[in-house]
Amino acid sequence: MLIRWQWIALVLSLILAGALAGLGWFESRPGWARYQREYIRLAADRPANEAATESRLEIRQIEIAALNRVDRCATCHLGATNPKMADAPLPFTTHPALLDSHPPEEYGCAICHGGEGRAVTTAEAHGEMPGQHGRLIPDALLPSACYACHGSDTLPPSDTAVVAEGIKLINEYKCLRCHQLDGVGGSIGPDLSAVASQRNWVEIYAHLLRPDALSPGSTMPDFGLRRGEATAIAAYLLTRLGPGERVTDVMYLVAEPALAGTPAPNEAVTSDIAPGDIVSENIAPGNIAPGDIASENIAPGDIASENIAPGNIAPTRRSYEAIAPGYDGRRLFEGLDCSVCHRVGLKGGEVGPDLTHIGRGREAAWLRDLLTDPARAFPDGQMPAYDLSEAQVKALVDYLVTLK
Amino acid sequence: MRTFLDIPARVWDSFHREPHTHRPRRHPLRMIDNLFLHVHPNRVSPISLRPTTTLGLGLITASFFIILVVTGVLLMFYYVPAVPEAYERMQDLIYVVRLGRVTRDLHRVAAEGMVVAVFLHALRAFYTAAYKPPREFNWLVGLALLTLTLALSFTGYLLPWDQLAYWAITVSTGILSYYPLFGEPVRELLLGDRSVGQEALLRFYVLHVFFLPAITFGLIGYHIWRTRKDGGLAAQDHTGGARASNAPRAESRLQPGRRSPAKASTPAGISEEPITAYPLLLWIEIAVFLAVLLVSLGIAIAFPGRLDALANADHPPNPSKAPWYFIGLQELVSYSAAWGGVVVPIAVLVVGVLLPYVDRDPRGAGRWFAPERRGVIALASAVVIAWLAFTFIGAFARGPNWVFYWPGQPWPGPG
Repeated sequence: MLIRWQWIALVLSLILAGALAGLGWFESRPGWARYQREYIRLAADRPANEAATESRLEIRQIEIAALNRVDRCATCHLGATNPKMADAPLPFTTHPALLDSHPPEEYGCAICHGGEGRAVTTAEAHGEMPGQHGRLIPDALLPSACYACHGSDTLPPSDTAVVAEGIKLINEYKCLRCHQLDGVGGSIGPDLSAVASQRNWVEIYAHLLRPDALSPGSTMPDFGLRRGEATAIAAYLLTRLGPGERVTDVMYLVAEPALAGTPAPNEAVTSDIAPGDIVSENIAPGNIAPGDIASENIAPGDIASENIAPGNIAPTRRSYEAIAPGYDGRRLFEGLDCSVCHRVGLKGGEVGPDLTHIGRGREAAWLRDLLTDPARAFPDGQMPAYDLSEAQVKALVDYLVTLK
Repeated sequence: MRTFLDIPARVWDSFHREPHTHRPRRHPLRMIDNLFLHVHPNRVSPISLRPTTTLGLGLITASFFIILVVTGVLLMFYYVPAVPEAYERMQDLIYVVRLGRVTRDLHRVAAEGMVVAVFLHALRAFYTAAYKPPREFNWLVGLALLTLTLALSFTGYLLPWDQLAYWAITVSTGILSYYPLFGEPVRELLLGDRSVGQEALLRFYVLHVFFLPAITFGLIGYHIWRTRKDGGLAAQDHTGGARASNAPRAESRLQPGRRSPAKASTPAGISEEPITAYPLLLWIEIAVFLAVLLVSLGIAIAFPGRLDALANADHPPNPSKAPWYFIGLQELVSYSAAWGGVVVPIAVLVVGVLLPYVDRDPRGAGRWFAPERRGVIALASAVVIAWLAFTFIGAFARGPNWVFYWPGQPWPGPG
């Protein structure tokens, strides 16, 4: 009996010693060491290269005390500041330009590129593990990093074109009817003033393309955005960092131009976008790979046509007066995007009441009062005033009472 | 020369306060005279040592506790209970500290393991009726240790300060506010605030690394000492031979003259005569401890824990789930806050506490699933199965907004 237990203990302790030895062996061969050896080999091929003499394998980190950040990206991205590595493959290649004005020892990497600066494996550092927030920002969205600190005033418009396009689309799609930015906007959806500190780009992008994907049961309508549109809006939203998260918050200050506020009511949008070309592409969040965005046809040149500064982006004035004369209530209903909030039949959102049978329950006069001044008819309601002309109200009412 | 060669043996002897000897009659002194070993009995019944008697669950629980203390102290060298340094320290620990990730995972696995083992240990005590006189009070000590284990695991759950931790604690402490009168004050006392924040982190940390472990350590010692004083394991009450310990006979506190009818059930072939505990018991303990450590280490390496995004009070994940041992409670609360959150748990607790003082019938004590106890066993089993079912539903079949989804059925969204 005693001998048996002594044997069991002996065998178990041998296995344990083996396991610990194996653990120590794996621990002494971290994945990044492989990259560093490869880098030393590459650097040795390039004559007169100082880095070739550097052969210690170690974690390389940049501490930015003011931002409370630690970036260990240079552990693998070894050639970023070495001009001789311009032709080397990732992760060893030289950083293109910009590092003179943004010395990495002062700013680190993740402040522009996102990702999880403290991690030293690819999946974790690029934020690809489940539940991680710091996700590596793809090239197409990098202008938001420039814009977050510099705004658009000091940069050539082409550098932040995708952000400017996002601002334009936010005004066009009237996001602020439901969402708030810096205290301006509606209260139906969440405040987006610091959305980038709460959600990473994958989450924002997926939410724009399929709102119920990120927040199940979300009442946000599916606007049928094209991927390029979602990219642009995400690019702007990624600039919405929280307090203390921008370099400018702690190092120096650049006044950021304000976003155009809630669009004035009479600047509402008609649909010169035919329904056909915004049919949502049935995008499941699973198949949105970072590559998708890069492949979008939003090369900076495309959008830079107008000289866009956020201040002068008034929502596009596509007047629904164009639908006149003899207002067709049904077309006006569609043109005003009422179905974003209201459902008629199978189509429409869930923010406002279902209007499929509105003609049964409501009189024409009541509807007319409501459309003229929603705040008086429903003091606690969320429906914004659209400042419609009398003829427009009449056309809408004529259409609504037919819904029975 | 010989003087020097003998030094190890002399150190070994001096440690034992007795010269080393292989004479079995001296063995009891090894246990008695040693501060660390004297919680052991001198002599132990072979029945107690049979694996099927207790399944070794008490020993396994204690092994987990030792692993937790050691890894916990190691983790304390790196951890800072502050917002948001706690999270950054966790990142550094798992990303770059040598053996940091496996230390953290070993601590996590051992903590979950201890919760499971302590539950199973309590079930073993119930199903073998080990709570019957004279062991009523040790059953209460055991219940207190079960509660302390849950509290330790729960307070530790918050410390990584990621989304998972933050919202699990928010949801669980939210259940407290369903309790009338004292619920809200207790919750605020625990959190130091109206919601989970810096104060809660500091309080949970102090509870987790000092207060609760100190009480648990003391109570474990008392629990083991009491087991010995109450006459060893209930299973050996029915041996005919001399008793294994110096405790008063269990029967002396029962009705006089009444001997246990279970005597006949002692299987033939095993000597009922108690044997000297040293050194066999120690070797068994060493082997079980090594096995527990090895299995925990294997699980810790094979299934590394995750560290979610930094805790964010504005963005609850949907669904937010409590730690798994409270998910059954959360599932009950989703049906009815008052019944599921207050009445049912308190009823189960009260029944558990009163059980040994109500069920004093000595029949069946020390035997698995004694047929005489059919009724109470069926009742308790129903409660356990229901609790497991609720936990399973809550953990695997609840999606966003606590809506039911079959396990494996896709949730809307990225999951």
